[in-house]
Amino acid sequence: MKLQQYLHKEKHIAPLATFRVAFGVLMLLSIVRFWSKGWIETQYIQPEYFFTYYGFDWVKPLGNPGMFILFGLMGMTALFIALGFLYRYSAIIFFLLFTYVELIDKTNYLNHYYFVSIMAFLLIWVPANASYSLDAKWGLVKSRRLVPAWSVDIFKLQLGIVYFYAGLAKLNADWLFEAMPLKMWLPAKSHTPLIGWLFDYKWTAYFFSWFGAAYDLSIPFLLLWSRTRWLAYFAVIAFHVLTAILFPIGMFPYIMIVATLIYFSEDFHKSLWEKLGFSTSVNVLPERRSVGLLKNALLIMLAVHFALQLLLPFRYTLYGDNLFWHEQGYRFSWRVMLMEKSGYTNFTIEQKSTGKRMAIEPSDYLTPVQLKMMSTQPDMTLQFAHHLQELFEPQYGNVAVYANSYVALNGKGSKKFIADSVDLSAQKRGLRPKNWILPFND
Amino acid sequence: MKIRSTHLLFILGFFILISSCDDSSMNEKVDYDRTAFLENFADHLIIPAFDDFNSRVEALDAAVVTFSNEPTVSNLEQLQVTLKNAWLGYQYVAYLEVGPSADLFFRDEVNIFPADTALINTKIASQDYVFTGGSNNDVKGFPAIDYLVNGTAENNAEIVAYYSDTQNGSLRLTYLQEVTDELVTIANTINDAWPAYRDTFVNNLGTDIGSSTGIMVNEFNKQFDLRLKNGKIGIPSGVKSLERTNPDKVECFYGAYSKDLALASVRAAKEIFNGNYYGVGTEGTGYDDYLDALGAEVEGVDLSTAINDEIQNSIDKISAIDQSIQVEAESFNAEGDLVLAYNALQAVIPLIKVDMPSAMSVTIAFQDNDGD
Repeated sequence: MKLQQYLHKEKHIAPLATFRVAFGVLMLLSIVRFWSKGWIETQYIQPEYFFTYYGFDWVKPLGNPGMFILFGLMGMTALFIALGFLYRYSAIIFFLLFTYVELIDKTNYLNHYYFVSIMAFLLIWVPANASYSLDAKWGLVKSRRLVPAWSVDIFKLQLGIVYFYAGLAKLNADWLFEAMPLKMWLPAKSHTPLIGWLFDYKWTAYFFSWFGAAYDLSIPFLLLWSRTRWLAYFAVIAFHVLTAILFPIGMFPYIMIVATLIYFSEDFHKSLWEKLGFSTSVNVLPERRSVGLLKNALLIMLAVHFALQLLLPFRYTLYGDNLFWHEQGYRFSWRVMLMEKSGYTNFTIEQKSTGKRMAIEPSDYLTPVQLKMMSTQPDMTLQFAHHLQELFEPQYGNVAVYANSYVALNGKGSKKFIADSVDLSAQKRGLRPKNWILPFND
Repeated sequence: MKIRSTHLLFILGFFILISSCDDSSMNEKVDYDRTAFLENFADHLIIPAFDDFNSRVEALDAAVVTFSNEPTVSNLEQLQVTLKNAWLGYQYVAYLEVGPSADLFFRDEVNIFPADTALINTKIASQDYVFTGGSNNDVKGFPAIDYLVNGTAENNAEIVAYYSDTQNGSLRLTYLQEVTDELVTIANTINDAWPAYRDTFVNNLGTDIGSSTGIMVNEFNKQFDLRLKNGKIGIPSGVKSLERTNPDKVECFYGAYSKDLALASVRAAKEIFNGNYYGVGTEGTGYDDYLDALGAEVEGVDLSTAINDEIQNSIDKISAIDQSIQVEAESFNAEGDLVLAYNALQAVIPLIKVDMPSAMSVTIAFQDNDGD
């Protein structure tokens, strides 16, 4: 019965409306930034080959001008979300477009893109346009100032999961006891104005590592608790501004700084809207709405979503050995800026009929970013080996493809990464353990 | 006052954190003067090297002028010597494509091989001295001059005759002079621009995309991997084309001293890695010292030692190439000198392309994008 009560509980829309506007505006800015940096061209038009996700090989880039139109539409729907205009349709279209673009090439996978996809997905199901929106103003939806409490709380829950799991991921020996990879990254920033001199000291790396882990694990709770909220929010700003200065992580810090505003009280958000000249008064008594069939379906879907959110990051335990080394089960788990990994992978093609071999430079086929990702992520190495097979078999008949791969993880020195005697063209893609990845053996 | 107690909690936590790390090793710091590193590169490697390269190219130009005025065998021989000297000098500065030389796409402008001799002959006949644009990269620079002074006829007497030809001789000399002028312009431009660029270079600290160190490490890799390992040895040897060798794709086809050029290139790599003063050999602050200060290791050995050992092995293997590279490349031999040299060079790559940039926090093969 508690659940039934909770589902009927209503809250003021102000926090949700602030979140809607902030999300829409930041997405619009992100798209404008992405476009103006020429990344639509370099990431979605110029590459000759795209690393699709397993099961999503049907996702293809739309070329020129298709990709530009797609990004244009995405920007428009982001603006509509901010304005609350045709909100639900906009949210659905934005979610689909954004996710489609992310599925084109896993080279471009970023945790914060995944985060944006999830936030957009959740926004589809909540009445964030019931007030302070063009929809409400123009009577496209019934204007109301009270929304179900869950429609605000799911964002807090999702954000909490992101932070907490990012913190859990930091609880590993390298991060805590070696201060890796910060011990490698920080000295390279020693020319940063004002604080740069600190980065040459070892204790700074240890302090940042421990502080970062403690921050991620505790911040959802400190934001929930009203007594610590302002202090916590100050920490949010300090933490993310620092990461923005130190690392090339684009819009992520700003998205988090703005998204965490959802933890603030109704009164806080109401006063924000009042300052902007909007009324926040609730003039009708909350109506009791029944939890209908649709609501039940929604409830189940959200339950499944959050169950997956809680479980997916642990799928790596099914693969054994060192997750950072083999990266099976690494993505979609809030492992953010967690390791220093670099590698070098080239290929040898063997013509089966003659046994003759040739060395292939993947840089002749891939963009620099694709090359970097392919060199250290075995699922991409395998995909590219299959691509080479497709490229060369018409000319040379059956070929075998071998990888010559070296990877260095967290400053431990490069080691052979993939068994160079294994013909990768004969290995299947998929989720099964890749036994041709050599063991890490620290 | 309740808020104060939570503040207290934070401050307490902070001190617990600090004190738990109270270990003498915590005060250790990376003891490396990055400004001194860049200053050494600018003042003792790059500027002197481009200055010397400029002198060598000007000597080549003077020899071209002498030969044009008086096409004799002895003047031709002098010209051939100055060409080799300038080309050997190039092998060092080829690693230094940063700032003024990067602006000019230095390597593409002066050393794309093999030269397109058919197009060169067409251009001579049509008096076409346009050298700009990527499509003209193989009608100019060292490989083109190699063709013009070593390869236009069977022997030196006949080459002199080729240029003394009453009908076409002067057009041929003009083309030789134009191509050399182009080279002189490039060498002069870079040499003149470096002193002014020097402070920009030294002050561009850090290892991010676009920092001096970031560019240097990337260019060091490109030159070593793509131009030395692949271009000078790999492609001729047949390891990149199913054992089909390419004796015609060597760096110096007509003068036939590609091995000397390859040797100069790999030796230059070692000098630059160790930050030795150009032409003097005095030990300066180089990548080796940088990596030592960072404590970088591979397989329990200092990374700087491992890199020096593998480069030295490459020097040995290239020195051991028995005949000229183009003769060695006439047939494929999986245990031949060229393949052994290629394998030795290949063994350096993971160390300089993975370990070194990783230890220094340099992004290799960079392209602007976000990470997380």
